[in-house]
Amino acid sequence: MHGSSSVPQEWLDIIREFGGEMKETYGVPVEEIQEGIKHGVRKINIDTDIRLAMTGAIRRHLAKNKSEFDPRKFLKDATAAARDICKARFEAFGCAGQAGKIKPIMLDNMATRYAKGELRAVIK
Amino acid sequence: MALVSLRQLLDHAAENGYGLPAFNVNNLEQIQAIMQAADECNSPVIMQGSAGARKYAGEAFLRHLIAAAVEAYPHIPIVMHQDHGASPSVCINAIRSGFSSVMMDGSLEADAKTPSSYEYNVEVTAKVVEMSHAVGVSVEGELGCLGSLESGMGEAEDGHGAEGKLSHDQLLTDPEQAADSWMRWPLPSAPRTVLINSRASPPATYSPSSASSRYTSASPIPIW
Repeated sequence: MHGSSSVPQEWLDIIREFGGEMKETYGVPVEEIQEGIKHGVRKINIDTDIRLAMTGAIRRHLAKNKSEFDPRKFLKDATAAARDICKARFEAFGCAGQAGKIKPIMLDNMATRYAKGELRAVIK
Repeated sequence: MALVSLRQLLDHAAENGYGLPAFNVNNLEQIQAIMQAADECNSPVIMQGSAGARKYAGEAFLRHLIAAAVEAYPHIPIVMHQDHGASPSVCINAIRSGFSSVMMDGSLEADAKTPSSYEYNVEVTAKVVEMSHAVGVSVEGELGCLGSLESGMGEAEDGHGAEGKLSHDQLLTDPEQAADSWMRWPLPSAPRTVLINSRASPPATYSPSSASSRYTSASPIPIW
């Protein structure tokens, strides 16, 4: 799915509260994405949510710490905000807990499998 | 743990009934945030770089930031995917940079602005599939242009998007073309993934009232 940010309204509110200007905008609710996953959606593109969280966290930090000039301080907040969004999506989409179950296949081996036709389509 | 192909993760996701977020990355902090989250909940990761990301950070910086993520989190399978490649040359450069998956978006011509013909799309995508699979890299294609079904306007997604007004025919994926392209590309994957937009029936997840106005009419097609 392209452009599948959920556009959390709480981050829009924080951006607005600390001086940002955000027009009314909505994303795809997480519950609708979960419905899509049930019907076979596997890759869900997300960009805007991380942008919003980082911008909100930076605006809030700088507004509350007016003498701050060390970028590490506000970037730390931005990273934490983005991390929380990512974790929520990993958990909502069901991929949390799956990393350890995957045995990596080297790309060289994938190339061999493609060449042998092992990965060809089975159109039903 | 080396980078893995998107195909491997998608097969695992399909077999086990889950979805994977593909987060766009541009800088150190975004990559650290994604990896910290994945580490905390033991999730595989898809990161993707757009034309805008390559312009902002530069190919070398993106490459080494991803390499750092792979080194720092050896237990997490990571896909580095190129988002909306505008031409085969963009894709081959991404592969040279170490990306494990590429998207050939042939819905637009190489200028990333002009809607292309279906024949052009099939031709350039087949070319990318051939060279990518030769090195084990998976490929995502695109049938139909990104844009708004409500306004008909093409919409740029981080450096890639049609200019001007588009018809619904241009914005939506034609199921017949989807089937035809599957026969003509050396495609590996069973059609387990639903088309997001289809003339035959509205997608299960599409909701005009709630969908972002930026992205109501995306038309990705899985090739892998």
